[in-house]
Amino acid sequence: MRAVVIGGGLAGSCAALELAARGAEVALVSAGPGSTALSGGTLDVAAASPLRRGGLPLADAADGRPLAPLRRLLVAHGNAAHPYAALLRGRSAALEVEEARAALDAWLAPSGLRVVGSVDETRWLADVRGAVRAADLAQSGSGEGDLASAEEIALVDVPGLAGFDARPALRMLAAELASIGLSRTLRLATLELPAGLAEHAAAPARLARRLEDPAAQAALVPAAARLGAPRRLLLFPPVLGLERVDRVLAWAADATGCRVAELVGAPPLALAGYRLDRALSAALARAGVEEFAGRVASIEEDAGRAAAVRAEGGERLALDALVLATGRFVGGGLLERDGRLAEALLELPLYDLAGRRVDGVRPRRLVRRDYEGEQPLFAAGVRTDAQLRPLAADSKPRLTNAFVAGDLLGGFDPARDRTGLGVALLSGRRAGIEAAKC
Amino acid sequence: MRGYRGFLRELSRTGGARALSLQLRTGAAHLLRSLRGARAPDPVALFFRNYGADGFRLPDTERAQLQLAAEACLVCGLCSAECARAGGAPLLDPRDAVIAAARLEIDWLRLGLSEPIATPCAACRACTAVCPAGIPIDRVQESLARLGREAAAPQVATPAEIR
Repeated sequence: MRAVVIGGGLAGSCAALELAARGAEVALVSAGPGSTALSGGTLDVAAASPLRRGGLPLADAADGRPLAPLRRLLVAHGNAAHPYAALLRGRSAALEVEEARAALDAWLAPSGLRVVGSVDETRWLADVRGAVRAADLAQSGSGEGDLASAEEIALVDVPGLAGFDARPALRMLAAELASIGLSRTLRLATLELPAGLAEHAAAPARLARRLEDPAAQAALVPAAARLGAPRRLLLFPPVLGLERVDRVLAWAADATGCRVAELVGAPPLALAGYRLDRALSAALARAGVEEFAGRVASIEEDAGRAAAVRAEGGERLALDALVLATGRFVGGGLLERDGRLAEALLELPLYDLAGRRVDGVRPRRLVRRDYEGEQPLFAAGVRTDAQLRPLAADSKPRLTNAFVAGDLLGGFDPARDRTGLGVALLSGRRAGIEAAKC
Repeated sequence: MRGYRGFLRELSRTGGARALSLQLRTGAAHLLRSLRGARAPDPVALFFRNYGADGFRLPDTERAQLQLAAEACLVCGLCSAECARAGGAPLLDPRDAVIAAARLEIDWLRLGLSEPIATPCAACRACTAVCPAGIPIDRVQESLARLGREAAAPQVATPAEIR
């Protein structure tokens, strides 16, 4: 059984790894990093933010009490168009998420990345701008930074570090914590980089790589030791290692003598997404998935089935099952073709949240002048049946052996409701499991 | 747009009257020159006949293309990460290079470089391979380096320099 997965983000990787675990011969075609690589360190299934309009609710509408992530997940599930509705129908949401977490954790562990958290309890995590989110699953690094679990929180200011300004972040953090009624001592702890490291501060990725070097770590110990205090949670900007965050975290905990975590990243400081992308690639290689770099030119069809994928380089990959995990605009699954919105490979019909067809519409007609409001363009995606097979305009499966996973699925707006990685994780695994039956 | 910006710059530097007279002079000159050259068949030839003497040159088309490509930058930093992993030691971080190219406002001191870069990096192209926006970052680096080498002899006169 040969399977081809198009897309190398979280959804495509999960599908490929599930297929490989079921004995399929898997080829994965990836045009390069997509939105998974731009993620900040959480793997939220159902996150919410206190000071943000739209998205999943933070608290119960009736009694105002904070919702556990699982309750939020069920809110999304209750929206019949959301991918969760099809993914969780007839299943226990908590069990489904825990299975996915454990599977991803096992795939990433050899790269030193763990997947922590659950949908039963909220982790309050701060990002590099000081914004707080009620997170659930997260990667090691940011996952250890639960604000509620610490008495005193110190943001680590690294003078000269590009993309991070600790003072405004601290003010923002104070305002956000006040809005959720979490009272914690907040302070700033300045980490003066010694010569040899200070000149890398302008390029955070280079600093992150240098911090993996034992010699650099040794030189930084005196400065790091001054950051520690009893019962303090130290929140570092997300530069603790380019690839091996586990080792740098362990070193930092040792050197400072207190709990350490990274802030959740956001572009332009999003190394956690880069680590996730690298760890997924490493997992694919270990599982024997053959990775092809490049774009897909076309999909060959034969009697209502996908027969082969032709890469832009001319290579032809014959297949028994196909997984489309091409993402939306960053990944390249949706694009503007001749001025009109289109799905890139199969010209699948696209729908917005209200169920209106939006393929063939000019993209500029699908955006509204409201930053946090609903944007039909960013909610556009394809419809599928219960097995995640993409539907044609007549509501019949477009190809009987093709499955869709990740952001390409319609019915939700990942930018607003922040379920993008959760949908990628759950739908990626499901698409892999369904495809393995072909 | 460029003329307008030049006008504002002059206004702030030298006072309104001089700036206005300069704008009128260049405006009138432009009108006269376009009338005189109206029958020339080739727009490029027309351009040089009218403006070559003022020091204007055709823009570098490759650089213009690179600027256009660089404007697609998401500022995600993957190029920096990949560059660091590949062990590259560029004088200018790839992301900074792309941002500089997108703005085409290259101030070497502000970029933290005391002098223009001669050889930008090892040209391993790791940055280009990883860019989600498909920007040819290695070519951007090379183009900036070339710009730096040319910096000693400016190729394009700004309106403020026309006297």
